[in-house]
Amino acid sequence: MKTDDLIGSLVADQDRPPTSSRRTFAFALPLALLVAYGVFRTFLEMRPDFGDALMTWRYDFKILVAASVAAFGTLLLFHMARPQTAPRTALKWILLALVPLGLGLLLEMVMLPMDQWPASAMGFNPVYCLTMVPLMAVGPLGAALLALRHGAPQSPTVAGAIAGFAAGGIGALLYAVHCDNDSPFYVAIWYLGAIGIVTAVGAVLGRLCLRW
Amino acid sequence: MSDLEDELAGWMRAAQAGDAVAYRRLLTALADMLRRWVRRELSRQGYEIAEAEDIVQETLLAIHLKRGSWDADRAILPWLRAVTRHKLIDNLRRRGRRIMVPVDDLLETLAAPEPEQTLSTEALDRHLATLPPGQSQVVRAISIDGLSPAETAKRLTLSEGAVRVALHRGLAALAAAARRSET
Repeated sequence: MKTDDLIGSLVADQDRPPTSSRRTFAFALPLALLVAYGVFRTFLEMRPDFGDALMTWRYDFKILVAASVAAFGTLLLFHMARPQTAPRTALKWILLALVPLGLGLLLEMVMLPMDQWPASAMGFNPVYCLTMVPLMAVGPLGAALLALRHGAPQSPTVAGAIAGFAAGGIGALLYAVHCDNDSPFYVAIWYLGAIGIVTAVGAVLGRLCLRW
Repeated sequence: MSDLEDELAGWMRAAQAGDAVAYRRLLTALADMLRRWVRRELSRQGYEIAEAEDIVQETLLAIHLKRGSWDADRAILPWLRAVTRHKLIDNLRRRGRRIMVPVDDLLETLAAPEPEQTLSTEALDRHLATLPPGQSQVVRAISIDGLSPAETAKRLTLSEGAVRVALHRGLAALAAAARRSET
């Protein structure tokens, strides 16, 4: 095939504006959240003391930690969708996203007597948390990967991992509405563990489906 | 900001607003730039430049399919460089084994380009043959035979919309086939 012939077919294909990652995510996310809400309604319920919990610093910190991962993760997602972005810049963003967790941990170390640390770190249902957060992240992960398919990430694996990180943050944020283990210790181990699982799954899927 | 930057970005913006002439101008200019750049990179790294045109074509396909990842309010040259670099690395990784040649004196004979001959390649034709028949017929009619989507629709007794969908899917499949191939 002559290069000019190829160009002819590319010109013929340019009849509508191309879809960007941002647009795709904006359309897919509401659907993904609906799926996550369905999972929530099926398996979980809102914690009964939700209103009171909002008045405690531990619960607010937990929400902040999850929201920070979700927000920074989503912004980072759009950043990684550009071919100019070096994969290693992701690390800086991830550390930034985890600043609230670090602050929470410091505060908890000061507030809580050391003999209570193990109990508050283990909480009541860590396995449940490790299962439900990834389950609610499935939809958002699909939306994030779909958005990245319209992007051009330098590293499909790293981009997929970021999709997982963002989706894990969204899953954790929703799970926090149910969960009543509020210690930053618990959050650091189990929430972060659950987000880590989704990140790993995202990396594998990214490697498989984001090459271009 | 450079003249080149303004010119290329201007064409791409016009193209995204539906200006086919600007888009053809952009892709033709890019093909020339890519050709020069890919040949230079290949010979500098000790690779055979005969297959440079394959890489040029694959890169043009990638630029087309991924043009949505360029932010219209950012510079286009860094974006183009990043896409080109990605495709070159991708290609070298795939081809490395087969066309790695010693750099020394062989380089000079190889470095003399054969423009007329290398402006056409067989790689895409080979990948075209692996596509579903409907898609390859449409891509072939529009690229090689130079028909418009409307003329293609008439020839294949399809709707013009179906031709456009087949063209878009066909081009994406072509890029995927090139990516999977060993050569």
